[in-house]
Amino acid sequence: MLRYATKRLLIAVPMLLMASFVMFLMVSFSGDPLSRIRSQDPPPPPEALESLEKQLGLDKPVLERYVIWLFGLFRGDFGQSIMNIDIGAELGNRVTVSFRLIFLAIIIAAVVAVIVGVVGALRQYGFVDNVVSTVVFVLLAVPVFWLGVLLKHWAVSFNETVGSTVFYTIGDGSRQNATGLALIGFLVLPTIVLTVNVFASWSRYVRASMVEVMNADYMKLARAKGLSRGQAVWKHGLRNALLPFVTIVALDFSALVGGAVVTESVFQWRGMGDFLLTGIRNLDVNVVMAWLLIFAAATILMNLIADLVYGLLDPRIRHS
Amino acid sequence: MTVTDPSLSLVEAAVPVQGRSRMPAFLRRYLRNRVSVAALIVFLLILVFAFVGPMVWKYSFDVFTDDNSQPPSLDHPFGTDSSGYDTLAQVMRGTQRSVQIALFVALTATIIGAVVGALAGYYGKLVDAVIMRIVDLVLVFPSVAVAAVLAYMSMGTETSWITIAIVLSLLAWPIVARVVRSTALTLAGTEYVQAARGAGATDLSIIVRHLIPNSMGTITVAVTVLTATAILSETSLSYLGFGVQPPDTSLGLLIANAQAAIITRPWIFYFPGFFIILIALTSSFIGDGLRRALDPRQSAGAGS
Repeated sequence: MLRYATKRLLIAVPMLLMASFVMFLMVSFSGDPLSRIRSQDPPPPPEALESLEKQLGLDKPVLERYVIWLFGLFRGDFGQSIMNIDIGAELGNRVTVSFRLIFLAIIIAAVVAVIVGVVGALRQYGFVDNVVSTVVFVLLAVPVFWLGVLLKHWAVSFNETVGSTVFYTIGDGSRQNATGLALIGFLVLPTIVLTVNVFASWSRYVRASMVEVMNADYMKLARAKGLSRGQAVWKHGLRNALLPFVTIVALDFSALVGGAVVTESVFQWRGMGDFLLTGIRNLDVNVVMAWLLIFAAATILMNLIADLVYGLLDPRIRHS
Repeated sequence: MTVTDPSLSLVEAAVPVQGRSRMPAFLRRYLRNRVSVAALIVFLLILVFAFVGPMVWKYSFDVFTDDNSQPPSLDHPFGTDSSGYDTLAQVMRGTQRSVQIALFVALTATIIGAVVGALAGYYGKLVDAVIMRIVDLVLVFPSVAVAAVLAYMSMGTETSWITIAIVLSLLAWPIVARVVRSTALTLAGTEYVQAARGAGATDLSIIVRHLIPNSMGTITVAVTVLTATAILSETSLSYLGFGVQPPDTSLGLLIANAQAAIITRPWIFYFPGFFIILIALTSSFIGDGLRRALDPRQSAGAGS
C-alpha cells in the first residue's frame, strides 16, 4: 500500500508541473494582455507602453517568464495584476466561498446518487426505476444557469408570500457577515442548482455498476450460502459497486467546478467564478493563471485521494 | 453493411422471415424501443425547426417588428421581446447555432478521440502512456473555464461560432479517447487482429479496418452523449458572455438576455430553455437506445 501511495504521489507532482506549464503557454499565446490599452484613443505614449511591458515582464521570452512566475509562486507571489489586485489576498476569501459550495454539492450529490442508483438497480425496469430514470434523464438535460434563474424567481415569490427572506438569491453572504447557520439561506439554492446535473449523471453510474454487480457470481454465492437479499446487497454488493464510483467522483470534479462558475455567476457570488470571469474580461493573465492553477491542483489532489481511497478499499491493491 | 436494394427490403418487410431481414440487427433492436424512436423523431423535427424554419417563417431573428413585449399569439407564437424581436424567429436561429456547434463538437471530438484512442490501445506501452498522460492533462482543467479563456481572450467579442466549436472539440476529445482506448486494448489482443497481422496487414490497415469498425458501437454512443454535453457547455459559455456574440445569437445568449424579464415577459425565458432541454434530452435518449441496441446483454428483460 505504501509503495502504491508513493507511486501515485510521484505521478501527481510532475502532473501538476506539466499542467502549470501547459496552462501558462495557453494563456500567454491566447492574446496580448495590453491590446485593450494599445487600442485606446488617444493612443498612449510608446514609452508608457514599454514601461508597462517591462513591469509585467512581457518583454521577456515565454520560457523565462514561466520560470520567473513559477519561482514567484513558491514565495506566494501570483504575479502582477493588470487591474492592480493583490491576487494572493483576494484568493483567500474567494477560495473559502467557492469550495464550501463545491464540497457541499459533491457530498449531497454523491449520497443522493448512491441511494437513487441502488434503488433503481434493485428495481431494474420496475415502475420506480422507470419513473426515477425518466426524472434523472430530464435533470441531466437541464442547463445549470436556466435552473438557477428559475429557482431564483421561485424563491423571490416564496419570500414575498412568507413575508421574510428565507432564501437569499443574491450574494454569498459575506457582505451580510453571515456565518454558521445563517449561511444556509445563501447556500440552499446554489447548492441545489449545482447538485442537480452531477447527481443525475452519478446516479446513472451507480445504477449501471450495481446492475452489473447484482448479476455477478459472488452475489449468487452470497445468496446460496443463506444471506438474505438485503444482507447480500449490503455486505457484498454495495462495496463492489461503489468502488469504481470513487474514481468517477474525482473525474467529474473539474466539470463540477465549471458548473460552480456558472452557478456563482447566476447568484452573483464574489467567489472564484467571478474572479475568473472578471479576469478574462480584463485580459488579466495572472489572475486567470492563479485560478487555473488552483483548480488544476485541486483536481489532481482529488484524483490522488480517489486513487488512495481505491487502494484502501480494494484488497487486491492494498496487499500488492 | 451491404447496400440494401429497396425493392428487396420491401418484399422482406411484407413477409418477415426470422433472421433474414436485410436491416442490421442493431437497427431493428433500436426501432423496437418506443422511447428511442420517439426521441429520434423529435430530434429530427428540431433539426427541421432550426434549419428549415428560419427560411419559411415570416419574421427574421434580427429585424424589429412593430410589436413590443407581446405575449404568445397567433401572429407571434412565442411572443416578442421588449425591442420587438419575434421570439420564435430568435429561438429558431438560436437553436440552429447551438445545434450546429453541438453537432460539430460531437463529430470532431469523436473522430479525434477515436483515432487517438485506437492508436493508444493498439500500440500500448510508450505510445499509450504518452497519450494517456496528455488525456489526463486536458481533463485537469474545467472545460467551461478553458473554453472561455481560449475563445474570448484570443478573439474578444469577435468570437464566431466556429471558434467556439473548435475550442470545445479540443477539450472534449479526451473523454472519447479513453473509452475507445479500452475497447481497442481488448480488440488488439483478439485472434482476428493477430491473424490479420500474421497475414501481413499494416498497422494502419488494422486500425482502420478492424479496430475502428469494431469500436463503432462505443463511438456511436459517444457522438450522442457528446451532443448532449456540448449543447450544455456552449449554452453555458454563451450565457456567461464568452460564447456566441451578438448580433448572432444562441440559446444560451437568449436566456442571458431574458433572465431579467422572467416576471414581465416569461415567454422569452421559458422557450429557449425548453429547447435546450429538448435537444439534450432527445440526444441522451437516442444514445441510451443505441447502447441498448448495440449491447443486447444489457437490455435483457426490458419489457418496455
